[in-house]
Amino acid sequence: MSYLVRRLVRGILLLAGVSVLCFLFTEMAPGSFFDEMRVNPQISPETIAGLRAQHGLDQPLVVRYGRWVKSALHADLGYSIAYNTPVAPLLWSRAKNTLLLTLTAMVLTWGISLPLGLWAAAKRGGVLDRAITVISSLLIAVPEIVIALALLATAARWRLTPVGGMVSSNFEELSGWEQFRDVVAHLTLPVVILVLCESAVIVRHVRASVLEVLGASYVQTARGLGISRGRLLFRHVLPVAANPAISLFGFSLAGLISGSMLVEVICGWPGLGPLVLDATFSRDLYVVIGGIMFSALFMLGGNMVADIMLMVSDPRIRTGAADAG
Amino acid sequence: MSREPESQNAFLRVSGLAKRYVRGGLWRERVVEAVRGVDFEIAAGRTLALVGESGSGKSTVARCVALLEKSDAGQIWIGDTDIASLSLSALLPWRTQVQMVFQDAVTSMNPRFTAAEAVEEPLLIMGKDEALRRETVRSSVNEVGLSVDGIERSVMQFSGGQRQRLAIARALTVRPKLLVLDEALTGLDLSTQGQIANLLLDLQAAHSLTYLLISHDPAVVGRMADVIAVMAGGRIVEMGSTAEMMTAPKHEETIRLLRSARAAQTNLAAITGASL
Repeated sequence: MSYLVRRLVRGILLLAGVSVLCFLFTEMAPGSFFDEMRVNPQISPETIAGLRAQHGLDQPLVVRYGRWVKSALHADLGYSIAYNTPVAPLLWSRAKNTLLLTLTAMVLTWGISLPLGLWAAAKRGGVLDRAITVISSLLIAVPEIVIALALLATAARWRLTPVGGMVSSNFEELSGWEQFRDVVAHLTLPVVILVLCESAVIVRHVRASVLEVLGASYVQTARGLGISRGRLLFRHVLPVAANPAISLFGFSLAGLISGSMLVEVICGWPGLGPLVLDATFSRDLYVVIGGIMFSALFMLGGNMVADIMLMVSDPRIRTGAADAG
Repeated sequence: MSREPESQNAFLRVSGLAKRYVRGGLWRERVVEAVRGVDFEIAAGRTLALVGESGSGKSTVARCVALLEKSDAGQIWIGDTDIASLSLSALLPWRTQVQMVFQDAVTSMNPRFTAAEAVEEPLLIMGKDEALRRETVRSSVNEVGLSVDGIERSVMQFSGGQRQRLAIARALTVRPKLLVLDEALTGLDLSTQGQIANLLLDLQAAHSLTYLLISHDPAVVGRMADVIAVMAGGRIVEMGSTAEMMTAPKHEETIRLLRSARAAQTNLAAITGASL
């Protein structure tokens, strides 16, 4: 339990660190939300100064940060100047869509990568292994944006999936089942892009972990005694190869979230990505900071889940058993 | 399976053993001839040492004899059975007769296992009942000089020498007749190496075990082996009794190995200040 508490405390400190960096970087960034108003002769400088004061932007950085922390503790995360609403509810309405996209992509990524990595390792040097090596190398080498644009163009050209948005314009008129199908159809393209990009890395990691275990002499000893494939897999290979894979799970969630920002913008998925991008362009700084904090929170959540899974799967983490060497 | 008419008192007889590996690049495959027609025999209760530099093929021979690799050609006779020609299912009863102890004590145990689980694993694979498993584990652990009190600890909490003892105990649980010791004494400090060597000699005397010892260390080989076979390029280039090979080596590879071992000893003596 103390292990989890330690991780939790570390996570909270990390979030505090991220928030400080966010404030420092947004302070250093040129321009502000009210810059466009300055070029409008109908808005007086006094009005702009009044608006800045109303949103507390005339205060020193430390004061603004203190007010933001207080607001964060009240679950508001500051106030959006553009939307004229507290940031947290605004972000949460979009974060639900990001979570739907990210979690679907995550389940599929691991559902595909684990068996493929296992298979490639078991049939090392075979046709499937080589095919996976070539395809994953290509997918890693090509930038995600190129893959996303190519798939978007393909989907649009051949009308394979709906392009843009989360639902069709006639969504409200559809029955429950048709609404579900409509969301799945819109979800398909961004999920395929994310799964392709993320699986390429995870398959290689799983393959490497499994190969390392398969080469261990205790596996060879067990094989020498004629151990069954099932027993070898579930008693020796999977439990030992699971540790690096589970650790990767937390990082993969972070990768999927950062990847989903880009994919959401390209595919027009109404998640955090387009909202944070718009807020960045318009200098709606509390929305930008809130978006980054949400991403950091998701990443910490993913790592926490990975830590709990590691604790369950590996007793040495619970007991803190040391290697005598 | 056929009957081999030669030497009657040999426990293991290897004849014309060959093994090659196909190493795959993405586009082009490369064939490596690891073992090219190796012949030797080991009398029951004796030790034959295969020595040679890295890549000479000695570990491949060991893996073929331990039934971890299928040889491409040749025969491996135990008694009057060529085990190299047996199908996987027919091999099962023979697998317990030959056990292997590896060099790397760290990877020789599943890191998730306790010492008891690691030693018990062969018996579990063979489907032995719990009472027999428990009794066999206790006697094997005792035999290798470890206390049964600590065997519920994780294998990661044992030192390198203790893990090597556990690996030997695990091999003993299935009552093998031949132990293949693949660099089993390499990587241990000199004191632990000496203790494990003594343990192996004691076990050999107690159970009439036959050893195939793979090593590149002439000092270990000189102490443990009855016969030495020197390998180079996948072939045995010289074979003879230990005394003969140590005092009057003929092949240049044997001479070179002995010379480099002596140089290493001299360097060690210079570092530690010990006299040779």
